[in-house]
Amino acid sequence: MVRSIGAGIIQKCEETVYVLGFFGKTLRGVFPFFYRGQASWKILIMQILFTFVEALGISSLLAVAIGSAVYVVGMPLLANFSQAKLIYPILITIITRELGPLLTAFIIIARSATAIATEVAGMVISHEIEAYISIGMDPVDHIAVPRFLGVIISLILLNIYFSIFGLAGSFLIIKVLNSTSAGDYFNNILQNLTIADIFISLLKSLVFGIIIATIANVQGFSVERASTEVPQAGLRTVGSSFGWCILADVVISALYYMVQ
Amino acid sequence: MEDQPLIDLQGVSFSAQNKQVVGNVSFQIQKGETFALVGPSGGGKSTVLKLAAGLIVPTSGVVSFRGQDISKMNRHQNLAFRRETAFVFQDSALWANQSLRQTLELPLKIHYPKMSESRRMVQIAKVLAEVGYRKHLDIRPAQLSMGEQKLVAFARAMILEPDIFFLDEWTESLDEVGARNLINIVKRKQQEGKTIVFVSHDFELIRELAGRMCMIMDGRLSLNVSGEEFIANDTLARMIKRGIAL
Repeated sequence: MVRSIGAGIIQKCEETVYVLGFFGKTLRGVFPFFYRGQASWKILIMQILFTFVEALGISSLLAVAIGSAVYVVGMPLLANFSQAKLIYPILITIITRELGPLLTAFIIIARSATAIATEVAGMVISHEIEAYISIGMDPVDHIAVPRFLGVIISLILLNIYFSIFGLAGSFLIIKVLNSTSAGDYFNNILQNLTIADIFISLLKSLVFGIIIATIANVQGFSVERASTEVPQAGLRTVGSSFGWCILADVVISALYYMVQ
Repeated sequence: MEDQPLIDLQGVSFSAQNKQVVGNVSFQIQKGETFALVGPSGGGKSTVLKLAAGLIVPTSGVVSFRGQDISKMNRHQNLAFRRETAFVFQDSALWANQSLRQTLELPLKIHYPKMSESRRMVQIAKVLAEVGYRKHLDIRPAQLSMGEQKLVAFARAMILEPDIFFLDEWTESLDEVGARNLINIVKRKQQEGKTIVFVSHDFELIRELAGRMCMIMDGRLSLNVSGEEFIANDTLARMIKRGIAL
């Protein structure tokens, strides 16, 4: 039993070293990508189209739903304590700083991370990766780096969109329920929005993007020969990405409140 | 330096999923040679070919190209090595998300980034004429038959005008006419003095082309003979044929 526990720990350590090494190699490829990555620009653009643009619909729905729910549930409660004005910092905390980055990360894990992992795994199985190597292309530079950048850029943009749409879109629902004017609403939102809120929100998007893109690429590249490994790579990507994003969210939020 | 082999495998082993696929294989390939890797299915021939081409890194041992360890090449050395070599995969391995035009342009863009589009098109037209592909280029590989995919894979391999060709089961799943077309291309490359390293199950093809052959069984080198020895010795030929047919 001790032997199997030890073997499990050693395997986990080796996997962690591999993931960190892969992340390091991907990071090293980011800068050169901008001056010699012409052949891979299309992949970056397609990745942003698929991960950001095509996710706008579901993000809009989620953002409006959450913003409205917070307002509808929170406003009567706060009003009972004569603290109605607190609804604005609560909206910002939930939409911009806490749930926004995490929910957009979940959307991207469900849509794009699985797509990346299974696509790359399929390329490994069909020897397309070896075909890239055979013509002198580094598969990490050509396959992983544009997807890595695409996911990070998309997650940051989607998070900004989610925050704006969540705060502005939910006003339309609020307008139906009470007589708050647009001027009052947006004035209050802007007065309560701090640089720290925006910074933490963007930091979380960046960290989640790095986590999701790295895990999806690593899982895609880690298959060996059987086509049955392809869906397994997708499943492992979802599980690991959710876990690591939640952990990172807790750590960043905890650090923020400690500093505060 | 004259005697230095073009490709040199020294005590090469390779493991995957904790299982040894290739064990302690050593052989050399000289410039201009046509070298066949034969053996039973699942014996490790394709893995040895990929090791020789530097597509996978050995678990132990060294694969050298003109005396230089392939796994230790820097980016520029690797690019120079890749310019001189080409690999044709058993299943063609064309990039599914790229059109045939993009597939053939990519190696040129990587190795000759300043080459004009018109020159790239001339080069593409030249190799397509050589392999005998006449269909449209703005289509994806999925729209082609296996034989057509193989032709485009050959065209991709020839686009940089390399000196060494690695061919993995290259006539597999082709009809007689399609296979003969590819064999004629390889023969032309032989006449041009190119080095050919190939894996095949086709006994007659090996007799027809190979200047030397190695037999790989259970991941180990079990025989390394010249083409003349192979043709002259019927017992050896029968033995190899049985080995291939295992």
